[in-house]
Amino acid sequence: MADNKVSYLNKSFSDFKTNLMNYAKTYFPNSYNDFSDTNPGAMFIEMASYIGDVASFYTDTQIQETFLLYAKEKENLLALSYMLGYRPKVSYAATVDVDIYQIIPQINIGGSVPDYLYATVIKENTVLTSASTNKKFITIEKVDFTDPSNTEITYYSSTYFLLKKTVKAISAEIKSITIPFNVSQKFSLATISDTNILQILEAVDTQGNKWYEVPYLAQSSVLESIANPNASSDGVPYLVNYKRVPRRYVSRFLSDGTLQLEFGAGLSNSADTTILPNPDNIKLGLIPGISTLLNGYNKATPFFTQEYGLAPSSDITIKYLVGGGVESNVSSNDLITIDKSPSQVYFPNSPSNTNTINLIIQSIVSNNPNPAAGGRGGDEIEEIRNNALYAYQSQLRAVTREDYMVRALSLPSDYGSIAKVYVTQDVASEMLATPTVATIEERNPLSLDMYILAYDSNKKLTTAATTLKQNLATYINQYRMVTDAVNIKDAFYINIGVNFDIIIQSGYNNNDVITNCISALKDFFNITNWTINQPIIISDIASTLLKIQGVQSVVKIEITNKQDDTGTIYSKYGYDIHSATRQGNIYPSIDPSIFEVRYPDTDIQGRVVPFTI
Amino acid sequence: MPIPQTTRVNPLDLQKNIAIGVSLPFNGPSGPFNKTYSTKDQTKSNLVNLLLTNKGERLFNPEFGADISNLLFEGINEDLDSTIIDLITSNVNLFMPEIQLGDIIINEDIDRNYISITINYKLKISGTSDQITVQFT
Repeated sequence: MADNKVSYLNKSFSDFKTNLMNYAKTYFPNSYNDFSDTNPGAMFIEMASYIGDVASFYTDTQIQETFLLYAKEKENLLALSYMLGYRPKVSYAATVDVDIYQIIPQINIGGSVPDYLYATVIKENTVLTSASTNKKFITIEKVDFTDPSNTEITYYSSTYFLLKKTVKAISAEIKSITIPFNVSQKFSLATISDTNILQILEAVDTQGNKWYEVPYLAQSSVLESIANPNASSDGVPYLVNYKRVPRRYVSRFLSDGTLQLEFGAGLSNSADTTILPNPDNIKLGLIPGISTLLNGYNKATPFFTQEYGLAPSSDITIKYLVGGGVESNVSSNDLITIDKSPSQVYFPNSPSNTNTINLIIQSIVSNNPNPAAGGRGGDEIEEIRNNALYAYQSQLRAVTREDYMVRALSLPSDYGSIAKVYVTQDVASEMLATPTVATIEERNPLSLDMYILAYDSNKKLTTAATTLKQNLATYINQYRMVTDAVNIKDAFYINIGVNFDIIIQSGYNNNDVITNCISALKDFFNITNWTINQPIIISDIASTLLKIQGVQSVVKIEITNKQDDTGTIYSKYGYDIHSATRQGNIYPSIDPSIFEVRYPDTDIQGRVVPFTI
Repeated sequence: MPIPQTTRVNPLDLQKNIAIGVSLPFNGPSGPFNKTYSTKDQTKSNLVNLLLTNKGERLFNPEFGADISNLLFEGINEDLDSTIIDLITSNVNLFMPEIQLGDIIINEDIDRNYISITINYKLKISGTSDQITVQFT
């Protein structure tokens, strides 16, 4: 039958049945001629067609499941998304700003001021509980009342002030599990059978060694935070550095929502330098023979080293976060229970008055003025698909200038906070003599200039500290392509004032209208909304003013430069606003710069003028 | 001139050495699959096949079958015979238009829990008469 023509294009039941009948007509004309449905032989033809249909369905399905665009089964989509660099989520935590209060005694030092001896520190991961749903939230950073910055101080009584700080919290609980590892095994697997797992906080073995999560086992280094000795002057709490971590693991969510961990393969306690292939050990494990002439090294060698991390040999205790979900979006004024136990709250300045200490501990309360938001279930099938496609496109590499800007702005706040960033081709390197932190040699023709600014403690623009730039350089290095160079430089900020004259409609109170106008301009010039190299469009200001009820017309808008040679109150860089004005637009300088109304309460001034003919 | 007497024959019956199809039951002397060499024999097997098949049993052909076996679990009453006859008539007309049904005789033995159905029929082309009896227990 080798010469018989067999159709390989059949896919459906009817295709197979028709072709099997044609096949019988062609090649068995003397054995089978009744092709009616009632013939018992038709049943066998239909059974064979059914098998063909099922087989072609599975062939189609298997092909379909190998393509990210078409895969339907969650398990396959998860595998494909991990392959392309996207890490799906099984739950999203709600986030909320929580106000934390404590009272503090007054002390008289040239006037009543808070006695920071009694200021508390509330550790990160402090548990807050929802009054209505009993959902747990944890704070994601410590609340340090000893630091007066970003603290709202009000009178509580004749002897106490009330301090308020705001901290972010997420809907999560900390859980832990101990995974037993009695014998070292290559690529050991362990599963955390919990639901709504958000992330792993830490993994420590019985010897106290910390195990680090990495995106893939071949990645041997992770970012490490080192306390910055100059944190108080820099405003940068930690220095970022790379650390080589032989004890590492990867984690993957399975289709049932559980989290699977995979550890390394290195079974040797020896340092890699003694095991990695070298002329002495490279042939270890090879059976002598002719193959050694052409294949003179043991390909398994890396698997016995720490190349893919170490295999655990003792129990590992894992702390992880669970939570999130839609129900975690609690309403406002709901997070009113805070854990005030000594393990979470302490007095760093060690006051001695026990009664006052107890009173202050009792006074610590929390509240969320706004509802929590962002909590929801895990990624749906289509979300996994689209997010994986996006991750594949970006590959976590910085390619475009927008990539670099996003990466800079996503620097973890522990390493300092970038307020504004602007990236351009390295065209101005010869024109500027500002301090530069470069990722590689500055004179690279492919280099980019990244201009940055930071916020001070009062959210005013300031020049970024060198420590912050170094942290940023280290951080960006992992996303930078080999051929790119990034010069991190200071952008300029130009402080301005706004003076305006308006005519108001009859029947409106002058003060009310002016107050509303100033308030609108404060919003307009809110520094959060401004970017480096953004021009001021005068007509936009006029339009903003004209939207205020009672404003009949805008007579004058004047932008003035605010400059201070010392650089303590305003920017030390002056700017000729008049020369920079072209057709109603005030352009920033060629050197990347940003306009800032530094003190909106005083720098924005308005006047009501009478209508004159 | 008298009209000559003619006999109509199914073309498949013209060559006696050419098999028509597969017969029932699947336990003949030469193995499970036994060939039939006349449309009369094949029609008998086909009719048995139709009567023994319930609707929904055939893959991708859920309407095929006489659905008689399902009646075994119905109560034996005066309507049973007419129900069986209706089922046979309608399904034979639908799936075996090449035969013309004759008498359908139904014998019920309540004590032995079986129904015997005897069907007389005729092949429309050749006019050949035949009969089958199928028992359901």
